[in-house]
Amino acid sequence: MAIHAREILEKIRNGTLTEEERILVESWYLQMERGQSLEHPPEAFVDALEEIRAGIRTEEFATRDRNRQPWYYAAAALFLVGSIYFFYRPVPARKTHLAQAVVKQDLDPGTDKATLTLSDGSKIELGTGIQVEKLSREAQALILNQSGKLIYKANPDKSSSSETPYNQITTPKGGQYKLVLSDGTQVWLNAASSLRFPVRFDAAARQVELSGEAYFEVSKMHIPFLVKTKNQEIKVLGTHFDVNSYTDETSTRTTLLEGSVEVHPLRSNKGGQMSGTMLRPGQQSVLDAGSLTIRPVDVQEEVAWKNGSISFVNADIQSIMRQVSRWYNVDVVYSGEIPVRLFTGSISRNARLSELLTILKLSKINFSIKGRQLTVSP
Amino acid sequence: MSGYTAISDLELSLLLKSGDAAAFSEIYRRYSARLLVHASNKLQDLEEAKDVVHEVFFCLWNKRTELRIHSNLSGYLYAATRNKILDRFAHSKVKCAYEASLQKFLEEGDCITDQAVREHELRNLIEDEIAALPAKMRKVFEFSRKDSYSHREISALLNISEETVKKQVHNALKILKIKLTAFLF
Repeated sequence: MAIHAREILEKIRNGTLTEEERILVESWYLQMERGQSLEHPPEAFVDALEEIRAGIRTEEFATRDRNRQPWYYAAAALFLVGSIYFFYRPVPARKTHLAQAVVKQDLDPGTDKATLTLSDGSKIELGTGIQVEKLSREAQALILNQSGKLIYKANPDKSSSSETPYNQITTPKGGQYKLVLSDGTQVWLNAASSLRFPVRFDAAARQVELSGEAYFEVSKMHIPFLVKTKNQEIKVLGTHFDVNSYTDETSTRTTLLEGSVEVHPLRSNKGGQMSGTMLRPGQQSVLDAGSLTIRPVDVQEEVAWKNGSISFVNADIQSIMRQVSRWYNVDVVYSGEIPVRLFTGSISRNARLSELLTILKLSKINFSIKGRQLTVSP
Repeated sequence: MSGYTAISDLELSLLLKSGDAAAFSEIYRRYSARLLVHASNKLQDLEEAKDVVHEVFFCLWNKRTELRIHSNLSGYLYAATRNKILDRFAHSKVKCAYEASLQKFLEEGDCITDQAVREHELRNLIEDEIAALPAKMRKVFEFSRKDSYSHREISALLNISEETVKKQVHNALKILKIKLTAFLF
């Protein structure tokens, strides 16, 4: 009799259950002993749900599915490695030989790391090595550091009217970090970026200052949330949006996924301050030398970095290299005349630099790495 | 994007079948949390449960064009999750525990012969599990529900009248209905 259950399990494994047996198995499933509730904190589930979603590619590019490795086999990687897809828009035909990418050394991708500057000026290095750590050196909030995520919890009893202290989190090249502000707003900070924020928001306004790139999921409250960059100010109620304001990019881009924001340039070429422009989901505002334009974009494309990809659509080699420079912490140098071609592609942020370069080399561009310098040549 | 939260499961299935990634994201938002909770309870392991949920949605997306339109999207997802969990029981290192339980059932348990009833019972089982969760776990469901605001909540947040909200949702649905019609005929 004991064999019977074993046989059925065997048949489940082989996919050879009969109709009758299926009825048995499904009925058993319903009546099994209920297991104990797992002891994981809710955050573990939310993180899991985000990871799972990030591991399913739904972009509209031509894909090569063959090399899709299950994400749980990639050592310590959160996202699908091996989902590499790429095509480029060809320039009028010319014969070029297949370039040899001379990559004597390889470079690792970025990791979770940042520097936190407290209101007293002291600095703390943040990284994934630490599990959960209380950094409660601010009177008005409890600060927790947990595997790449910094969490601020306002002390409920300390609602003082004195000056609110500001902290600043800065990611180096090759770094990224996640931050949860005292109101629950989540911020993903990309490489070479910096966010200055109050330890605890007061009742009047929530304001932060950004340089570089960050993606925000703002907690919905009646208090407006303001993001100030060098050239513009954004006002939000509660929403998901990305701000890209690197000083080495020519423009400041704000991409809205959900909710609504108002974008105010701080200087306009018309003199005086421009009035705000409302953005709707799926739109991006581009502020370039005082002039603000709105265009529709593929929002998943714009926030691909937050979901673990380096992604580019009709991008020239220079803008791709700026992303590479920030994430892999390399200096990019151009030698010779680089052809003007536009590329579209995407690769996991956990890929080593050589994998990314292998893709680009298919488009007949040469690379060589020496120490932390990447040379691009035709 | 926010218009999707007002769309029915059936309409989402149709959109998904036509390749709409936003519809897929909305389906994921609606169902992933409860499937993850159920799978982790059944498998007693969060990592394994993650794999199961990943597979369910991965398959859903990859097979989207072949989907037979299910008037019952949730039934489909629950059944797919159950089947992947059963598969894991059969591959488990602690198979003997499952064997013993199954054997006991074979000897003493009652079969539910009607598939519709089993489907209904499965839904109840999962929903009971969710209802029985401690309050702190409600955060997990905010992940799946945080964008599903009522008209009144939306209008309060955006400072516009409820009428305007209703109209916008209605317009979003109107556009979808036209899209769906074009697809079907």
